[in-house]
Amino acid sequence: MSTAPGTSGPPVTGMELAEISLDLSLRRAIQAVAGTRDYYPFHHDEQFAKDNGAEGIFFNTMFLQGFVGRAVNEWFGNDAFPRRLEVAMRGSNYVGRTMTAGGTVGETRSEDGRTLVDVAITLGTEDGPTTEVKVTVQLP
Amino acid sequence: MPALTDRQKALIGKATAPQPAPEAVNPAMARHWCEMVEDANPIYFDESYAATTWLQGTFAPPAMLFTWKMTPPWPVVERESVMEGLELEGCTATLAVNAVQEYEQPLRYGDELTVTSEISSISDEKTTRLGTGHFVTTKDTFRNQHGEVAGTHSFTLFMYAPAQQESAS
Repeated sequence: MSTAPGTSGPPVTGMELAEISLDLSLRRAIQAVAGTRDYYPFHHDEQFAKDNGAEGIFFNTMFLQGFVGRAVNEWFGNDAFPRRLEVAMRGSNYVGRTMTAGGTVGETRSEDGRTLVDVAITLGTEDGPTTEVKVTVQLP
Repeated sequence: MPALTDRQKALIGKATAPQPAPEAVNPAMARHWCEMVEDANPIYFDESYAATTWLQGTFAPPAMLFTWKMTPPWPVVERESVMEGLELEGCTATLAVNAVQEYEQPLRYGDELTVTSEISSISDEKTTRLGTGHFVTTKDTFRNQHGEVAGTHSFTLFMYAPAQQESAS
C-alpha cells in the first residue's frame, strides 16, 4: 500500500513529500515576467537590482505561489484544490540558483463536508531556505 | 517619521471602488503561467479530463489569482491605488514579506473579475537590517461577474527608507 506522492493513497501526517526542483535561469526569470506581468525591475534588470541592494535579479512572489501550486498537485493529485496559501519571504531566490520545494504533511480534517490537509513547505536554494509556506489543500 | 498620523490611520479599512481586471480569465495567460513553473497539470487545459473530476471542468491555476489584476506595461492604466495618500516619509523601497491567498472557487475561463483593495493594517515604525519603515498589509478581494467572491489576497509589504549601504553586499 503506497502513499508515495503522485499516487492516490491518503496523505499520512508526518509524511515527507518528495522534493521538486527547478533551475532559476535568466530565461526562467523572463518567463516569469511573461507569466506574471510583473515589470518591477528587480525581476529583470540586474544593474537595477544591484544598485538597490540585491545580489542580482530575484524571483517575485507570484512565481513562488505558482511553484507551490505545481508542487501541491504533484504531491496530492491533479484535482487536489488549494484553499489557502501563505508564503513568507525570508530570503531572495536569485537567478543562477536551483530552487527546491520540500514538504511535510500536517493534519487532515473534515470541515463543511470538505477533506482538508495542511502542508508545511520550505522553498530553498543553494543559499539555504528562502521561503516558508503553509498551504491547506482540499482533497478530492 | 515616528507614530502614524491620524490621516494615515484613516486610510485603514477604506476600500477602493471595484476595479475591473484588465483581461477576462483566459487560457493563454494560464499557459504562460504553467510554462513558467513547468506545471503539467492537465486539469487546466484538457476539458475532457477536467470534466471527469469533482471540479467539473477546466479552470485557471488558483495561485494565479493576483496575476489577474496586474496591469499591462502599455498603454498605462490609471487605477485608484490604496497606497495614495499613505505618504510614508522617506520610504522609497518596498519588499514583499508575506502573502496569504484564499481560494473560494475555481476561476473559470471567461470569468470577468473585479478587484476591491484596502489597507488592512499599518505598523508603527520599525527598523530592520534593510532600513527603517512600516509593514503595510493590503487586502484585495476578487469577485466574478456574478458578484461572488472568487478569492482574496493579503499582501504584507515592508515600505522603508534603505539603510546606508557601506558597500555592495
